[in-house]
Amino acid sequence: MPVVFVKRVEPTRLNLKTHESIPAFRAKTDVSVRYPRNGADRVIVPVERVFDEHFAEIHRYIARRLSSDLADDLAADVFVAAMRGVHDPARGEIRPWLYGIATNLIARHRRTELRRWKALSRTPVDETDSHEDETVARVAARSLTSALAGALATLKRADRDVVLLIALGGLTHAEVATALGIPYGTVASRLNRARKQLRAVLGDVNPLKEGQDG
Amino acid sequence: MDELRMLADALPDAPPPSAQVVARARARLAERRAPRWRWVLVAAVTVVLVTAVTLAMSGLMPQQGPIAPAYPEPPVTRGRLGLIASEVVGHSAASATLRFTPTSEDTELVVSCQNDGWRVFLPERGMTPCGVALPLGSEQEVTVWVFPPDAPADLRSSEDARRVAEELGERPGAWSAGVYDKPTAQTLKQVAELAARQPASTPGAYWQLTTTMIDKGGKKHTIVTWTPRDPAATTVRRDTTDDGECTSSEDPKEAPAPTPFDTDLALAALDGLPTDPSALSERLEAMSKKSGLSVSMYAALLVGLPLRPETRAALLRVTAELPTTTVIGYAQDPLGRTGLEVGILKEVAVHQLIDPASGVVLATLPQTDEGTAQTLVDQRWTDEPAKC
Repeated sequence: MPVVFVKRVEPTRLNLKTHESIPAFRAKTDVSVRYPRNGADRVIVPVERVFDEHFAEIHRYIARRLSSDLADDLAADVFVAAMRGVHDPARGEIRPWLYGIATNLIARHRRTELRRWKALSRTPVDETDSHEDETVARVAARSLTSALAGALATLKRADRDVVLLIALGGLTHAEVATALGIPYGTVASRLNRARKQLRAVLGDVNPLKEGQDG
Repeated sequence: MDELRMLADALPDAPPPSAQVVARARARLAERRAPRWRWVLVAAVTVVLVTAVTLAMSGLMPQQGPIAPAYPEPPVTRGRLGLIASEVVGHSAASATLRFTPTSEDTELVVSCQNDGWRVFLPERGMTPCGVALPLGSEQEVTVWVFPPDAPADLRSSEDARRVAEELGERPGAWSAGVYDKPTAQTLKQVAELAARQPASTPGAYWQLTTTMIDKGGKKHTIVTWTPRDPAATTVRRDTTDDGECTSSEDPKEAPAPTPFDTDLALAALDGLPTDPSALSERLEAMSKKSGLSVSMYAALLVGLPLRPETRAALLRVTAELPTTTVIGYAQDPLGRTGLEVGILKEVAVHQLIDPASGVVLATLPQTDEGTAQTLVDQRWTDEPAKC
């Protein structure tokens, strides 16, 4: 059928979050183009909406792996890079795609990331000046952090990407496969290997004991 | 506990990006948008083999064969008119339906086509070439068709269009349709909504305002004033002409007072202005009674001052309600920036050009031959006034 039905769901709706509320500066939201061909539904997703929906979480993901300062620039880079490309529908949702781009940008700062995990692993766990219960809890958490950060630093980069996309990004295994462009089976095997290493360091940690000793 | 959950909890969290970071990222995105491509997501109804696809260069490389109708959106302004509805369609023969609320009698439709020779068809009105502004009446909805050159010219109804579209089939090439209309006082209120969302700037010791004026002879003056937050300090003014002459003055008598607020409203006092429109309105009326200046005069002067975002928003709402306020339309300042031209004052023939995205004044445009447009190039807080 050679007709494209263009439908604006609610053209006068005011979206006050961005420029949409000014008629002349309204971003294009609520536009979907139904495109009944080859059994696929085509939906045009405006850049602004993708940005609004995902910027904060992509920023957070990068900030947790590198630093907030780097995330300020890299998170923007993710969306600029994403805009340059066209999202391939075969890759599924946009969110894992963005995480994939972010992960690739983080890879360029591998040394910074390694330094971060190593620094965290060295965080002192003894808090000698305090005897409070809350200090104990804090020390416990900190020792756990340093153990896990140390383990992260020893992981292979590919394994670390898988682990952190799941742990920090909250991606499913299938989404990780999409994000990294690797087969599902590879995700599973990398994850298994990484988990073993994490478990190994967790076995060595008894945070409460260390905290009380301190 | 699952070690991945543990990991998520144990690793330090990051604070959310600041409003400035978000604004900066958004601006970078906007820079990249010309022409504005849209992202396309095809949610395949059929099962997609996600894993079979490799991420060619991790999505950082431009992908082959864009699936989107990669055609720019209609421009957001057209002369004095602003875009109120738009669509982009990827091919002909096809239709788009635009729904909108007209704000004036000047509503018009403009269809731009990627391919030469394509024609626009409005049911019951006939065919026109692309790129021609078509006046619209009081419709709330218009269906536009675009046909390739070989479509018959004698189409009448939507049924005709549908039938011919089926016969012709799909042709590649995109087009866009935009409905334009006059901005109104309502638009000013919408600007207020955006103004309220601007990041607040941290006040410094001086408010630095850079203004350029081009006089009749084409001579350019750039005037920078540093107005102290502390009313006891001195206003510094630097005047540079385009032939390099620079004069600086720290004499408060010589330096023109930026506003008539010096007596009862120093810059620091701006922070104390109400952020609620009705409270602000009352405050302006009280000030007006005291000084004899009109409320609209205060509104026009205040809008050019360094207000906190929420105060600016309230002021724009108050301004939109003033009987003297007229929204003229979109216009460009001498630097080519587009703003909303608003007449706030009755007593002075000058219009304010307001940035539709932030509510900040871009320029003041005199409405008489004697006046010179003052373009506000930059305004910011700073701690040090600069000398010549």
